[in-house]
Amino acid sequence: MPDITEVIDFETNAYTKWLEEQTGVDLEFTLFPANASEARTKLDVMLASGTELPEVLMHFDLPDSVFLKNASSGVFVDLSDYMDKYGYWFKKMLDETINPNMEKLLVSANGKRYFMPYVVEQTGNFWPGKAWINKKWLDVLGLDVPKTTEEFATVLRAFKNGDPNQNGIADEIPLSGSKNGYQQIVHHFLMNSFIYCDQNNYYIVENGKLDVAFNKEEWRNGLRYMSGLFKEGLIDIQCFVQDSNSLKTLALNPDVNILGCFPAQGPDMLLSMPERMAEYVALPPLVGPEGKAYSFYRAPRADSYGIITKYCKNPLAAFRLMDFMLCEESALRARYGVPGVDWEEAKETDKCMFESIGAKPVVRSILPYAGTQNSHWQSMHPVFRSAAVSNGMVWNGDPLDVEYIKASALPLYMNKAPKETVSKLLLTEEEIDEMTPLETSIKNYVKESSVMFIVSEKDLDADWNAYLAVLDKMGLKRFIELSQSGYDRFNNQ
Amino acid sequence: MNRKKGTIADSKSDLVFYMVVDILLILVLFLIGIPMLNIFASSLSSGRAVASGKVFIWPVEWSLEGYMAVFRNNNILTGYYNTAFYTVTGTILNVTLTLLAAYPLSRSDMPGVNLFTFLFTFTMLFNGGMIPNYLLVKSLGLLNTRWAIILPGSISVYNMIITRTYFKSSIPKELLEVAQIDGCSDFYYFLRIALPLSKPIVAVITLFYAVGHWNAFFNAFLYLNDKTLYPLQIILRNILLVNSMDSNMIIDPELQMARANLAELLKYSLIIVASLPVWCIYPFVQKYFVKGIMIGSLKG
Amino acid sequence: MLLRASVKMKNNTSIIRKSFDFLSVLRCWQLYLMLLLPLIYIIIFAYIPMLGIQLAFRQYSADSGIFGGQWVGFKYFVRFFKDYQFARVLVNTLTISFYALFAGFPLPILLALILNSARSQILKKTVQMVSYMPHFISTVVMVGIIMQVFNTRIGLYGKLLSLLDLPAVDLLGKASAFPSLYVWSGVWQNMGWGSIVYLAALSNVSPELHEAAMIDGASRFKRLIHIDIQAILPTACILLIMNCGQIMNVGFEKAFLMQNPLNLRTSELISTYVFKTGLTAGGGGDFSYATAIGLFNSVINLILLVVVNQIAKKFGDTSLW
Repeated sequence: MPDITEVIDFETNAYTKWLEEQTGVDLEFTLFPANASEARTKLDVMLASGTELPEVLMHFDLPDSVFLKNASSGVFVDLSDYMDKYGYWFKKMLDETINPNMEKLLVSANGKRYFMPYVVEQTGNFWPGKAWINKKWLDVLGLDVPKTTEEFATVLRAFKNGDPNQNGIADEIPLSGSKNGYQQIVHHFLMNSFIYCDQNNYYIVENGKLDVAFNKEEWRNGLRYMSGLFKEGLIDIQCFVQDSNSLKTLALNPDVNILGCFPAQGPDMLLSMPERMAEYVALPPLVGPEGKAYSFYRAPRADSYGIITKYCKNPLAAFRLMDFMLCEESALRARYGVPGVDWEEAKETDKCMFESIGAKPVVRSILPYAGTQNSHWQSMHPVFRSAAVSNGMVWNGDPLDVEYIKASALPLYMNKAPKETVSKLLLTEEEIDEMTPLETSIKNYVKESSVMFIVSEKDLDADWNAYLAVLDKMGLKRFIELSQSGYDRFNNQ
Repeated sequence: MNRKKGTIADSKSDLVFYMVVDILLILVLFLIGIPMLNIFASSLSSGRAVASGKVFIWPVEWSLEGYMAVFRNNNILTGYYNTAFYTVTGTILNVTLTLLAAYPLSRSDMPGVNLFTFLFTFTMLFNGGMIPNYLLVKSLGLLNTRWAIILPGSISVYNMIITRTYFKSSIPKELLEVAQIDGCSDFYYFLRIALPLSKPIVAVITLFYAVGHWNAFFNAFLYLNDKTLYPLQIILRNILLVNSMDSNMIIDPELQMARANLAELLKYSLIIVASLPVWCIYPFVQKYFVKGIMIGSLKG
Repeated sequence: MLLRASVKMKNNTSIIRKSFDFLSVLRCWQLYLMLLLPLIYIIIFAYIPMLGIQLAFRQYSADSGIFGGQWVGFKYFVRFFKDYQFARVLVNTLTISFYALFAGFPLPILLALILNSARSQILKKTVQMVSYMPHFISTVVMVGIIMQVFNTRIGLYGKLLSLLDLPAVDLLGKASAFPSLYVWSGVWQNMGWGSIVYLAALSNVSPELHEAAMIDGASRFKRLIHIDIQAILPTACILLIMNCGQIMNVGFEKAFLMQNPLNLRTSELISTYVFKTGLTAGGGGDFSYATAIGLFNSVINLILLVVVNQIAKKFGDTSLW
């Protein structure tokens, strides 16, 4: 597992001790580089050279392709039998989970199950595509929070021309974002007012038939809308160029606030300036000219955090250890730390962070989540944090608590995705090999072209057909076929 | 340059020349110095000030947050010790091997010299990739040992060629001819005559190799599992957690957000922590670049 | 000097040049002995792993390892050449490489010459120390600096333009500006460090040469041209040749961090492309494909190296072999 600095020492860690006590298993750690892609590279090299691997691999989140490619060598142990016979907490998880696809997510295309999952069912993670607009500015200008794309354009114009930060200079930037920050991509948010924008591969599904969004007229209309905004100087060109740090610098502009609206899961980047953070409120998905207002749905996942290798001398013990990790007490200790010291059970009178969606308080956190500590493993292992637990964080009553802000904004975005969405594609090894270069080329081309259309480096009338032609040449049809195959296989399990 | 003032008068064109030289140097000083000051200042500023872009060339909101976050890690001291060890032993090995190869290859009277040179140069171009190298280290039994850091990559052909060029062009052929007439063996010539005259280049390659070791992390990342053997750079990289992100890969948004804040802060202090020792050592190396080494040799 | 002599001798087909002359081989036994250890080293650590290149012609699969896969000939190369992006990434990589070579090659030399000519020791030492510092900046921070400086709103670049009352053209999002940004930031970063080798060569110039020239009435500038530059010419030639042999090796990290949808046209390099297709798509490491592309790069490097080396041999005395 990765050697991350937040955990002071795995050997003496409180969670380790608790696990060892409860299960009687003695744990020895082999640490890999903390950077995920470096750790993967190292693992790949070890696999390819036939080097002995550690008995259990945690946190690696290996994709199906790795399991399938290595299936014949038996390097990864098929856990299906163990799950059926010995999976006590595992089965409980299957009962309690809110994810109807949970069992399906665990299976690879060859029918085997190679891992124990990391599952966190916090509702906030499912609807992360929020945006934030400066309410203070709206008040100054006498405007309401916009509901439609038209109103939004009006608001942005007012931001630009009405000097809402009242410093006499037209330095306001109405809308910005970053090129690759999590949920900070502007056109991902706005596109949802025209056509559903699935951030992974832009799939749209209707009646079981899978298609892509980026060659549709609605997509083009969305680009046209944004291109119009850009021409008026309402979208900051920097949002396609800068990374999250630069966006943060923009937001934290000293002396006077110049950012009007931005997409993000939460206003976290303004944490160091609480008064400024308080100026923003959540901007619900805007209703587009055809009445659409989607919100990106990030389907619940089961990441492959717990894998047993063939070098394990006692796979049953390893499995039971991981099974044990899936119990609720483990979930609490793993996320929050030592009971009584790092967290407490919630009292009846406590308020819940997610009260806006009707959750009940379960745990009050004392230890901050991302500092250095020795109480838990910083989520590097299989765990099942059910919806009840995940949403059950106690709220300290501070309306400026950023988690609370995010949580209360949730209802605005929930349940606004189309009925059918893609959660995972189940592909065979050959399909993956074929799909990979197609996917990379097409996705990158779409990303690049969308932005170029918006900033008018490509014209939506003159160059649209050329764009479609290139996509065809890249193999778009085959890409959709393969995706459909994966989608069907996943659903028909 | 030791110019005795007053022996030969400075002509006007010389004055212009020196002025231009000075101006250019000052220009370079500013072009490079100012961003460096920015980095230095950022490392001494608070995370907030850095994030909001307030820092220019002087620290804003003085704070040692960045450095504390680095040194809080228990492994830093081990990292320094290990890196020092690898640097010293590695460099000695490197320089020795390099010199042993560079000198013979500088002798064009040695039969097959071109073939050998080609053999060495070829290795600069073709590499089997990570896996074959890993397999080699594994079959030599070097995995997870200190040797895995020191041995692979011991000779930089680049450095070796530079050294060879130096031998060829800076040591006059006459010296060799005279020595051979005197019955001097190749070993003796190499050790007693060529080498002492090559102090500048030896200093340079020592510096290059040493710095290379100091900044190295690749061998350690691939071949080591034991934390007690980690060099400084690995530990620092683990702290920094360079994340190139695809929004698809973010599994735990909560954690990512918190990490990003920390990373911003650490970036600058990490550079300083890693590079400071090298900046301190360079002046010592520099004194070998002094002129006048050749003076006695032709006559002797 | 030495080399001119050997060229002359070559033309006279001197005995010394024949490889199989037993006497001269014997005579040089000590040299061979010295060479032995480094030779063994490169055979073990460079040539043996090199055998792994054959993976480019085999289909890698987990059970057969890297030597057992099925032989597929040029399948991966064809795949690469046929790829939609091939032409673009190749052109971009070469553009950046040659640009970097032309821009980056002369400057360390100039810096070394200027430093060497400076009279003030303080200025000389200070500039040296400062100019080495950027070499130690990690790529991530370097890109951060670039983005910060060229920000049209708050960066030095933007502020400068507004001072001069010029319109703020955004360079970070301009595909045509990417190569320049990439190359010149690299020059800035490595100029100082790159001058070290030349300084070492310059330090070897005998002061007597300069004194003699001064007596002849040569100005400092003339002396620079005739003495200093002559002193570093061999080193410069060799380095130029070696750099040509690295032409395809444009690293991926810096370009990857500087990429954005607007400059992708020029910022997609072979290395970033390989990275994206290899890892992001979760391919589990298609080692054969990666090896094939690496081999392709190496072959181009080799060809260029040999060509440049031959040219150098024809026009001068210094060459690699």
